[in-house]
Amino acid sequence: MSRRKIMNSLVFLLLAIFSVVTLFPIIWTAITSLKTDVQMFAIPPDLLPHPATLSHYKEVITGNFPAYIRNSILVTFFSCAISLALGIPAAYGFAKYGTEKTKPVFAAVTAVRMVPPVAMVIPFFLIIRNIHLSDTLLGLIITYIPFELTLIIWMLKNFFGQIPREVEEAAELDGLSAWGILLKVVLPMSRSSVGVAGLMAFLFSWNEFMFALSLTSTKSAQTLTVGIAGYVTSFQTFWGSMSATGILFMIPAFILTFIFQKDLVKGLTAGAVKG
Amino acid sequence: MSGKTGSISIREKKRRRAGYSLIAPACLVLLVIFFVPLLYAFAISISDSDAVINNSFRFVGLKNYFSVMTNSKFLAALGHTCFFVITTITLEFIIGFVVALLLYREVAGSRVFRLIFAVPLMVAPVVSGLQWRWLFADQYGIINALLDKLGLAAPLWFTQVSTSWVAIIVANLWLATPFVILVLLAGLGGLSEELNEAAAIDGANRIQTFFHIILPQLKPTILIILVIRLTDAFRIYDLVYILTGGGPGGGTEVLSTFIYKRIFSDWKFGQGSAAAFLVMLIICALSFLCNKWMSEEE
Repeated sequence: MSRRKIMNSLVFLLLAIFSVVTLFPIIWTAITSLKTDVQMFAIPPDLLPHPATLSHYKEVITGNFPAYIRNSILVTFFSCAISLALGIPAAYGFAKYGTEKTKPVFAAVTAVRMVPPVAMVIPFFLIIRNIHLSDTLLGLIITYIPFELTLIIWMLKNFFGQIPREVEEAAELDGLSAWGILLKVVLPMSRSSVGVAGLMAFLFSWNEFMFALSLTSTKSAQTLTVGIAGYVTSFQTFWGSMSATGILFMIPAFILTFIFQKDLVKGLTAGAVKG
Repeated sequence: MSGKTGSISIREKKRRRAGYSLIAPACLVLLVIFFVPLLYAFAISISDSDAVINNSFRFVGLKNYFSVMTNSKFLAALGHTCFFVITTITLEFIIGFVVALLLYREVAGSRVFRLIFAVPLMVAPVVSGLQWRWLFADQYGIINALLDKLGLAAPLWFTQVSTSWVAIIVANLWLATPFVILVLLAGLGGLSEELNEAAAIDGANRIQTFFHIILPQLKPTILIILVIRLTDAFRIYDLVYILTGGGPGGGTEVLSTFIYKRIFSDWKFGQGSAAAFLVMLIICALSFLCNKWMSEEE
């Protein structure tokens, strides 16, 4: 009995240490964001900011940050909304109305994941330039849609596939069409899965960097990832502004994770699990 | 009789049409904004780079592929990427297993711990890279301050290739291990208790139980993680860009940063595209092997 207790305390202690290691970079960023410039470069570093200052947040908010976050929000919102609107019916179609002919199509959809983003940077860069969408939000939205769309189709196909056939048969007898069943019966019972699929799409566009870097050049379309990377120049690094921006950057992702924590693992492994 | 089969086929036709109407919009969009550009990328890889910049095409066959494959920088980047992928995935699995098995014991606060370990999954690689760059900073960095306190020599992390790799791998472990932990934990949750108990009765110790009972049962889970992490690790870009930019002296150049530079620094679109297709080939081959292994299991 007591041996078990000792073991459990040991496990708790180890987990606590891992938690500290996990949270420390974020906590340190938060501390840095509250330090004055003088204090930031103290050797050895001070553990706590004294006096704490919000000046970096003020700098950031009165600087380019509002433009970056506006761009990030718009790109993320529209790319996710369009991808969900296209991806939910497609996933349902593949799951429940699949035929021998749709199989290779689905294989092609899943193959998108094998393509490294850097392979698409070249064609996207040239095409976006030629249709005069360089440095626009629309250009980024178009670029993100295929990646989010395939992620959503992949995840939701597995989920929809698990819905018992009887549910749809009953609805069919009520005279509902395939679209009617999807909208009135299947969607209301799949809120959490659709939520997780949406979260994955959100994370992709919110955190995406390579395309944003190559397809935008001014703050009229640059997103937060490009903006925050700009605080690191070859001459100087603005750690205060970077930390304040980083903290503001992470808040929306944390809130969404907290909401969807239960279904997160399902979302993370979707697609790899054969449905 | 014939009337009945007729009505079935009409119903079947209706079903099919319904299915196509659900699938078609997404497929059309994917065709136009993914597969056509992908085809274009392939065309670029067999064309002269200068022609591409001027929006034309000049067929050069596999010349770009040959020049990439004989390019020492590409081969170095390939070697670095393989080194990175093998090192990080091995460490991710070791740490992942330790933490997942600890969490599996369901001690007080397990739920909170699980939530904490999920946090890095949400952080953008760019932001994480910047955080770790600050943590690894030379003089005012907290890591070096700690090493100093412990009486250890604090290196200038980003001036040497070996220590630069340490920084990249540590930052990547922080970002990616939570995924491995959470998925392994989900896999552990699905194991049969009876087998573990039977092993305990047979007098197997913990280590024997882990290797002979738990590990074989977790094979499908491990393969899922492997497929996802391999494809992700192979395309690493953001972290390397932020932490080292491929330096010092090209010592941490990976495939994605190499290709990106070919494109946007040297304007060698043809070679960049050819290199990207080679990378794609490698990723496809690895995923194929994993999938084959997986279906053999089933």
